[in-house]
Amino acid sequence: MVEILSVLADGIAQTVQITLASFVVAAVLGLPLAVMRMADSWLIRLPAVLAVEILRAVPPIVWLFLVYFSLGSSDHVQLSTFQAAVIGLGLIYAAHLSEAYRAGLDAVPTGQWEAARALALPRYQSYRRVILPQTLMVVVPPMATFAIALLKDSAIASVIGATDITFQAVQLTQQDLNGLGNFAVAGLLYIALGLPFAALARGADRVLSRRLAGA
Amino acid sequence: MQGRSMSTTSNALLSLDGVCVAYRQHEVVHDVSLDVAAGEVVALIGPSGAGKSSLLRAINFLEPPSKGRILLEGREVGGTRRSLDALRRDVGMVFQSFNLFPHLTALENVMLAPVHTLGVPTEQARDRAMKQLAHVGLADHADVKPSKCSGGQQQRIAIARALAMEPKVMLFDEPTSSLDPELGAEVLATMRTLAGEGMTMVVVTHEMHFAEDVADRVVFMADGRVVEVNSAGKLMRDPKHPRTQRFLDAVRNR
Amino acid sequence: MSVWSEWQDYLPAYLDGLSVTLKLTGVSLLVGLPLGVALSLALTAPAKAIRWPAVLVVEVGRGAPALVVLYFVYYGLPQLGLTWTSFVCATIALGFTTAAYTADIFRAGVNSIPVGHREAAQALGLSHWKELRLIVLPQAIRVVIPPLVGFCILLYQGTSLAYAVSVPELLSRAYSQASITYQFTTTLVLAGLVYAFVSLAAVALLRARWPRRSAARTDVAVPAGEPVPTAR
Repeated sequence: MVEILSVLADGIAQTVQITLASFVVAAVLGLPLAVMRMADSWLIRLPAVLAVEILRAVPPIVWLFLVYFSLGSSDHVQLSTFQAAVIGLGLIYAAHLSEAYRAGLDAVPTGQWEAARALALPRYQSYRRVILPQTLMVVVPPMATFAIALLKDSAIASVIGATDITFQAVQLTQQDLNGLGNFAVAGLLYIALGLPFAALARGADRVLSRRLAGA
Repeated sequence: MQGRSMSTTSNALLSLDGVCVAYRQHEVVHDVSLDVAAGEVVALIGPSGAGKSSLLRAINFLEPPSKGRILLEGREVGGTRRSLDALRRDVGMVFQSFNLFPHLTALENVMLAPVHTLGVPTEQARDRAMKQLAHVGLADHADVKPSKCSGGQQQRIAIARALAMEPKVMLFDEPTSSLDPELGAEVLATMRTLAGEGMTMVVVTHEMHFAEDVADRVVFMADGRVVEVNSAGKLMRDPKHPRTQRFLDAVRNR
Repeated sequence: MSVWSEWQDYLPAYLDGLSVTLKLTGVSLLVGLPLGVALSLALTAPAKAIRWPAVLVVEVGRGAPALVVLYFVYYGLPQLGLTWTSFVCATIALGFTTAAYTADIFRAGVNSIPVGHREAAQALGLSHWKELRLIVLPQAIRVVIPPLVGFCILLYQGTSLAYAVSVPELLSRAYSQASITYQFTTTLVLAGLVYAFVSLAAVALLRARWPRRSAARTDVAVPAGEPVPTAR
């Protein structure tokens, strides 16, 4: 077990880096997607809706292949496996997070929009000062859940050759043929890495329900 | 057409001219015309579903009128975002459910619009907000979050928030309906003070005493139409229309 | 050669791949759903000796990447003298994942029934079995089906992982086509389109049959020029 762990540990950094970098990309791109999807003009709404639906309708592994072999191997662009994984997973999870953001925006009562409008607050200020601060706490638990899902999906990056935990486990197994042990440890490693996110989600949930109950 | 000619009174601060409100295809307010003079307090009364709140919300375009015109100081409102913003700066609104911003303190709630809508410098806005909080008797609650205040206090903060924009007209949408009578009373007292200071007010209310004592004129609405308009004393004590009589009898015998 | 004629050449192989993909999805559900029901019952069992193993299985099944579970089965089971085809390995791995995820869905379905309904059933003297059959299940099914269909779509997409253990499913066909022609863009885009077509059709079906709880919106008119908020 310890020997296995010492080999797989070489992949932990890569797994964590892919997960965090993709999550940052997703969190940044997801918000404008969510806001666009709530726009009145279908000209703004349509591209966002299309992007979200298509990103979610194609398996992550196909996206990673497309980004790595197609986009990232042209004459103009050469992408590393890490970059390809971050772009692919970042885009997919931007679509997922836009749903979380939208649910958060929806959770703000109608009256808050009306009050902001009645005070003639400009649209940007309404979002920034009134709506988004109230959205934040609501959005944290689903965001943490998506972070765990992203952590698990990051294993797919090993298929295009990113040297993460799963990649190390496959390499090791080809040498020692101990698939049972190696992949059991790999699985536990992923579960362990997900625990902080799970704790975050539970903590935010508690704060949230206390707020709603106690007010 | 009779409505049209009535609405062109020159000294009206706020005029509604043939206003209709529709949700989808369903019209809930039919052709209402009404003039409100500067300093006047108008109460809108009537059974629930009469379209009172819809009419009030149409005045500042929370529900844009499907037909008709809104005029403020003789200028027609609507069409552009700019004209809407100008209207909303001049018309304060108080909601049934307060709609205070829960993540901001009382003071921050009151300061928000002066700073971000009017561009008043922060320090000046703070003074202005403190003045308004004192005005509604809540200067000592400046740094308290709305969730720590009683319903009556929250509604008074909401009134201060609207007043901080220094509006020309204040709209009240059933401001005491979600409060128990005791807390409602402190809100009504605040509104009485405002009326005494000469604020122009349009109030949708179920409080018949308030309508009778404070309003200059009372508008009785039913089924989306204005049934009867008269000075408060006359309409409340001597209603002409049988529909008004029935409503007032029912309310008083409750 | 135009993209269209290229795609026409690829399509027969892709459709073969799609049929493997759909078969894998179906068989995994066949294995996983009964296990999921059993697990959900075990999760709510009063005896710790039954509950804890079930919790463990669900946590591992949901916490570990499906790809790692797949490798575990594919590379690990031969150590125990069990040598199966890659299709069977993929079925075991995806069936296990299905069981873990759907156990949670089923449990949530049963938990969604208000305690009062069960109490009322008991007060009316219904037997435990009748209470389940007449009161609990009809309500639970309504709650369970939308997330279940959602999971099926995820599983359908998840079968693409079986590429990694060389099951000849859709993605494998696309990749082997690409390694012959070196046309990665056209081959992979077509694969993506085939995946997307089935997923989107399923999503459309789901939304048509079980529209999101958007009924609250229909009676609130939202003026033009403003974002559309819902009432809570």
